[in-house]
Amino acid sequence: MSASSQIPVKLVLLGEAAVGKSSLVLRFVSNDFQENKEPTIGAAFLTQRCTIGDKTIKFEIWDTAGQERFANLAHLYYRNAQAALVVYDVTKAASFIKARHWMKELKEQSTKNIVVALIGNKFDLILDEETGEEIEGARKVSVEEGKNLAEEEGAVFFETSAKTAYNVNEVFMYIGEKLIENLAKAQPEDNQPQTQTNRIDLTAAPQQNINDNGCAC
Amino acid sequence: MDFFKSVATLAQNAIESINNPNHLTPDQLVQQTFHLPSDESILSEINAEYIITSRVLYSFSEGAKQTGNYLPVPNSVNVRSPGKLTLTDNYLVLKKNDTVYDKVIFYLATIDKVQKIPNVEIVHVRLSTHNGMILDVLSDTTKSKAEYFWHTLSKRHHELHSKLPKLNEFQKSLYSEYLISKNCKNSKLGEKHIDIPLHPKGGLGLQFKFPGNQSKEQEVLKLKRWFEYFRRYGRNVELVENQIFNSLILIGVPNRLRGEIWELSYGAMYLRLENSDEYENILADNKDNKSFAIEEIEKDLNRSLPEYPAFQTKEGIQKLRRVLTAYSWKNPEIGYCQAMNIVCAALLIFMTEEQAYWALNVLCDKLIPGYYSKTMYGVLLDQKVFEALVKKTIPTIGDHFTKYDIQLSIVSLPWFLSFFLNTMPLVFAFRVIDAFFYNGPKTLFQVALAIIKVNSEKLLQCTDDGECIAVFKEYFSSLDEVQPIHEKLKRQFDILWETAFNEFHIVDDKVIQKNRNVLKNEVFQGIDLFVKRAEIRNLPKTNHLSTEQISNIYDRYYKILLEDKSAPNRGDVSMDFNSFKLFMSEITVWVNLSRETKDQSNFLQRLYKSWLDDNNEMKLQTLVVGLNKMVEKDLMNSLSNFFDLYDIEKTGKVSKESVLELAEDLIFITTPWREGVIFDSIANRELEDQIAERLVQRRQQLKEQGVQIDDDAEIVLPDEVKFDEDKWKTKQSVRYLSASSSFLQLAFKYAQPYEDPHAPLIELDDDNITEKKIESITHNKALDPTHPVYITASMFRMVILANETYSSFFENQFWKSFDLDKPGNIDNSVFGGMVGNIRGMVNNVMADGARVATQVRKKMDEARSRGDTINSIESNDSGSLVSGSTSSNFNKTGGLRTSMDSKGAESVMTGWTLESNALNDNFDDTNIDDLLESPEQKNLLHDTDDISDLAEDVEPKAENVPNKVGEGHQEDEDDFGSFIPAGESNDSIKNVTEKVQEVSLI
Repeated sequence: MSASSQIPVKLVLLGEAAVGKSSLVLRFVSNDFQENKEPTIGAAFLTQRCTIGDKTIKFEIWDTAGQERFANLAHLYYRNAQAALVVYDVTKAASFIKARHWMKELKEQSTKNIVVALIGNKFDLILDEETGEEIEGARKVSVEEGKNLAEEEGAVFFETSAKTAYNVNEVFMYIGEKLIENLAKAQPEDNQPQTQTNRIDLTAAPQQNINDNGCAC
Repeated sequence: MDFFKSVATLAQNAIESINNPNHLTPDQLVQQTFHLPSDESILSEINAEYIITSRVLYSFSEGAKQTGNYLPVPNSVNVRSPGKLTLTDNYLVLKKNDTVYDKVIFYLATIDKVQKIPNVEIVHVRLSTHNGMILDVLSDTTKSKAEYFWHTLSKRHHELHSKLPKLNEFQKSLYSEYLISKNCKNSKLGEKHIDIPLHPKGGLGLQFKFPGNQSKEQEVLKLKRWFEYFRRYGRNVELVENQIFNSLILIGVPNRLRGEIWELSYGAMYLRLENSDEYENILADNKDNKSFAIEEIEKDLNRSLPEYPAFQTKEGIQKLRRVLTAYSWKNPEIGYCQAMNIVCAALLIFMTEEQAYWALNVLCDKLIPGYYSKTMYGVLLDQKVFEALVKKTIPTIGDHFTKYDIQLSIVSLPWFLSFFLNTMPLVFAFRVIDAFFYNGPKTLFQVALAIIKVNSEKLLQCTDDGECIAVFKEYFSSLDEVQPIHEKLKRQFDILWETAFNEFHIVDDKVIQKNRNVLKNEVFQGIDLFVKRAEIRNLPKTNHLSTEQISNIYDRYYKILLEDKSAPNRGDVSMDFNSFKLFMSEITVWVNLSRETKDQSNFLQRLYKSWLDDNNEMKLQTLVVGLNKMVEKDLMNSLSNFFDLYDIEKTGKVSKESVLELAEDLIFITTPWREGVIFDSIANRELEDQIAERLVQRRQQLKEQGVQIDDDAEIVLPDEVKFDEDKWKTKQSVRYLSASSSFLQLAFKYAQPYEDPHAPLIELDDDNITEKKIESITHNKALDPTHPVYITASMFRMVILANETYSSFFENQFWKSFDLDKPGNIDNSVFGGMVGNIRGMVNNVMADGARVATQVRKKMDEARSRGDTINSIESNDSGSLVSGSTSSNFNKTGGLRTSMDSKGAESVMTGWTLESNALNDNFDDTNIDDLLESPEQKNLLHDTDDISDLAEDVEPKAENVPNKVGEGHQEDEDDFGSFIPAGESNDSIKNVTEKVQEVSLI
């Protein structure tokens, strides 16, 4: 496989309704933000290329509907996914409970070595616009809770804001790097060209890189 | 079968009843054909010929055509057509034979006059409506039937006369009436109409403009066509529907009229007419109520067709909130599903809140049942149907998608859920909805298939889902563009529209229903699996249950709840006591519903009550947690868990009364053991022991007879063991009875008095306390009702442990008596977890021959160390006996085969297969005879009456005991199985007898 070829990566977003899954994607794909984005019905599909080192990753993003009853359909989308973002809203405790369920569901049902990121979105809502400091009581899910859950499930943890673009690209870059790293690990054992990306052997569990990746803590 | 599957089945029946005429009652068939409310029932029916005229139509047909005639004059005017008239509670409906479109629907109150036209041959009746429609009906059925029909109609018409003012008021809300009223003032054609000076209330479009940039001319032209239609064929609740009506809908309904046509098409209008206050009332009644659905609705209010200006205003959002909330109260089963917000927003552009509310009702109940349900099975099923139809009608695409594993359903799902509102530009989606409301669900399939068809070339280039999505995205954004087709320029949308209705008209309701029937199980299974996985994942951790077992519990739990017709069919379910009993009877060996006893019911009640959760409900999780405790294998924990069942107040103490109940419950639970249905591990051990004993004896006998036996050889088990089942049963039965009495005795011996605050503390080391006094404390308190006593968990454990049978029961039998490995969908009570009878026990013992072989060796060793007369064994023992456990081979009958090579030994071994003859010939059974004639044995037999007093539950068995033992003695005294080691049995039976006597005194 040549260094310049594209690596397609199937990535799926999961999480409760209205936590900002589609907005994260919109920010990443179009660097845009819409205040009142229509809820996703079923799922939306978007792609974005990004270059990491000498490699280009083509993210094929499945942005799923968040409402509980649509969870029935989610497996259609995370089928063969190599990466997943489980998103919650840092100002909504219930959305974190939902995230926990999704982490478990992924663990049980998804591709074995899927790279998972736990995302606490809407970080902008807990910051005072003027002082830039956290508004007391605005946050409903602590950094520790997020970190702990991520650690339990072997995922990486980020807090983001799709509105201010805070940490959004970092999430996707991290996932890209992780996948390339795993790809490289798998390479020596497997000399076949990696055209079939779902054959990537993502061996070791993702490392905890929380601090390196500029999370809110 | 699974719970959710059946929930889905219920809903599926709903789909079927809508689409499959074979399953419909006559009432339902009429309701479906004419989209009448579901409470309309048939009063009378006749077949007749009919002629429809109206004053306007009459003028046309007389040649008084005027300019501005936008509609063709159908050749059916003034033509007699055969049809069927049906009178329902509020409607007179008529359908022309063998057609789809020709229908008449008159709300009875719109009928002005019912006139009988004199005719000798037939019954001729002329109906005229307030608005000038004339219907002549010439009955071709027997006179009396027709007479009855018209009589009933007249009567009903008279009764409903009072509804006229309400009807007129209702009609003022309709744009069709306004259109007529405004444009017919000066008409000379004599139409009657109600005067409506004000534009009726309508959708947000009137204020915020309708989406799209349709020219005023186009809109006016369309309105004129509808105006003509309304004049000639009636409108709203007095309507003649024909092919022209369908055509007018397919070319696109004008914006101002759209709301009314949508609500008319599938009968929402009739609901609004009959339930005029419901919408406002439901909102008022629930003004202060909160619900989960409302939370979900709130999340989406700001994001429902946000590009339409009205939905960026408080007014628009408030309307959306009210309609969605009202519907969520009306139908809590659905509550709110994302996509409804978009659909409802679209409705509100053309409709008032109340109209939108009723349209939503009709959508969810009739047009797309199951789409917005909590499992969304309806829409999932239709995606499967759609995929199947693509394969059938556009096979090249079907094959291509299969080849590249492209899942069309994930692309098409939003199309079906929101009727293309979030995929096509709104103006085109509204066109789809026009047709959809009129022609029903098949429209969605026809349009979706046409989309695939017109894009098939591009789709054949796609190799994954993502590329397909890109093709559709581009296509939908180009619907307004024109494209040259056969030297003509055609708009993309019009090509799609023609393809949908010309090429895919074959995909009708029947085809769809057929496919739904074929695919429904697959879909429901998928949903089941998901629901099950999610529910199991959310259960609390239960260490003693495997995933497989939990899965079985889940299946059984819902299977049973489903069988219980009184159970609610969805959501927060919990198990009542009767279902719990059934559940327990299927998984335990000791619950037998065909033999209901007080003891059984008491113990199950106790289990049920002690497992209930904080809300006093038996949810799946409650049940799993309870069972988890019961299958605890650790003896100490298991005993504590059992004790806890009686320690209801969690004081750590169980009172005398409860101890008595506990003892009774133990008698009840151990019924299958006491009755010899199952043998416990003590019996098992004994059996092994006896077989081994026999083998040793036999070997010795042979040696004494001078047969050469090589002690180095493996020990070979007999191929068959004969035994007397009844004797074994009796023996175990006696052991369990004895256990129950000694349990009670011991429990009361150790029971402690509750501390009496007034009583002086007894200093045990006080010199003044006499032995006698201490004795009175320990002995009498338990029996004295004025001094309540209790036992603690540790006392309970101690008492059980002191009892070989009971402790062995808790250690080896109790947890095993819950068979959770049996798949949850098997209902018969075949108990798989334990040995079922003595034959089974013997087979098991023989299958595990190693243990018997070890026993044999042990006995041989013992004999040798006793310096017994088994000299031959002793002398040969320098060679090693091959241990059965290391190199034994099993033959098919379960016996051990030897690996010896000595021919002589082989023949010896053959002699060891314990044929009963050989036994009879060779055994000296003095021991057995001694035992059976011992006075103790006879005592026991006479004492069974006392036993039955103690334990009611044992009655039937206890009565049988003497006979069976007696028979066994007579017929089978030589039998191998009846061989009971003399000394031990004598003692134990003596003990039992004594204990039984003792207990019976209490």
